[in-house]
Amino acid sequence: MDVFNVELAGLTIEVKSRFEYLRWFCRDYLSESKTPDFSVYAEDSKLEELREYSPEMRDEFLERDAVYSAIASKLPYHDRVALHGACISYKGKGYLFTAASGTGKSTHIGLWKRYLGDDVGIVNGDKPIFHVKPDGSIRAYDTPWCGKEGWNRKHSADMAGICFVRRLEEPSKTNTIRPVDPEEAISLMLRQMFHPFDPEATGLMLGLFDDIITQLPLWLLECDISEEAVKTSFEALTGEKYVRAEKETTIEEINKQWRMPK
Amino acid sequence: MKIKEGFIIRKVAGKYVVVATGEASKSFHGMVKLNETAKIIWEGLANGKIPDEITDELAKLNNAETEEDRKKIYDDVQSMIKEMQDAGFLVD
Repeated sequence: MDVFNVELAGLTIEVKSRFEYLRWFCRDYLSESKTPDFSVYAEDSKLEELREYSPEMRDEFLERDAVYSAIASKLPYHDRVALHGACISYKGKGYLFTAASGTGKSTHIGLWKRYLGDDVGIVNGDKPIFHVKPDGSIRAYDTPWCGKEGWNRKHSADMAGICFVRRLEEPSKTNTIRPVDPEEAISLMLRQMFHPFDPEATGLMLGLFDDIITQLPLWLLECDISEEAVKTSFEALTGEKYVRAEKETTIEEINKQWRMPK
Repeated sequence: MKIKEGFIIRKVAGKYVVVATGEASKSFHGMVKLNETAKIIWEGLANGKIPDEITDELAKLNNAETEEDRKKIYDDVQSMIKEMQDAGFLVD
């Protein structure tokens, strides 16, 4: 059994693992701090549950996902929540794009980077953590769990907006964006929040979810894969006029800048 | 008749939201939004009240004085209970 501390979203977490892979996976997050805020371990029952869902997955990957779940389950006790979405920063402010898997969140943030260049940074492409701070502001943090693109950098940002993404069904239609009120956001976003198993943590998560959707500007974007889609979301979210960067960023360059180095 | 263990109710963005936790979350993945009346019915059942008692509470809150008003409230309570039964939220 390997035991190590990681620093995640401003917390020190003790991780106990069966496989060497997990320490390697967390390599950029290892911490020397001796006093963890809490400790996690992949329970056998959780591993079995995940195995049922993905029978072909290797044991070390199951452990990686079980540990994510164990950490995410405890975050609400520390005013933090784990959620599903692609989180970027623009000029230092954080913006989350969220939707069900396969909608095109990664594609959309990739387009921001392609057309807006150096002002756009990655926080995490799949599973960021939000911290609801005592002053009510919300800070987004990177995590090593970053989806198939592997987009993540050690980079956090104060959140300035959340954008729900829908794909335009008919290519002939134009890209649109409109504000969303918090009540509508319940249906749009609650299923993208990590739900802990135990009732107390879930109650805390719902309280933090309420803080998030009542404090941040919320938007619903219907988009295709185009520069027009970037202009549409960019102008609403940032309040700035869209000006394309002098040079387009290629997908190779995006991966070089955003993918976790091996 | 009782609500299955594991369902929790919280006020989110001015609405009452019910989600499942623990064992209940294995069979129910969604979320239910309740208005003020539905929330009173839900909490009444959660606290072990029978439909008549919940009807009394709602009748009082809505200043329902006639037998006809009370009957209407009772029917609303029963139809929500039926919906909850169909959705698998209740145990006998």
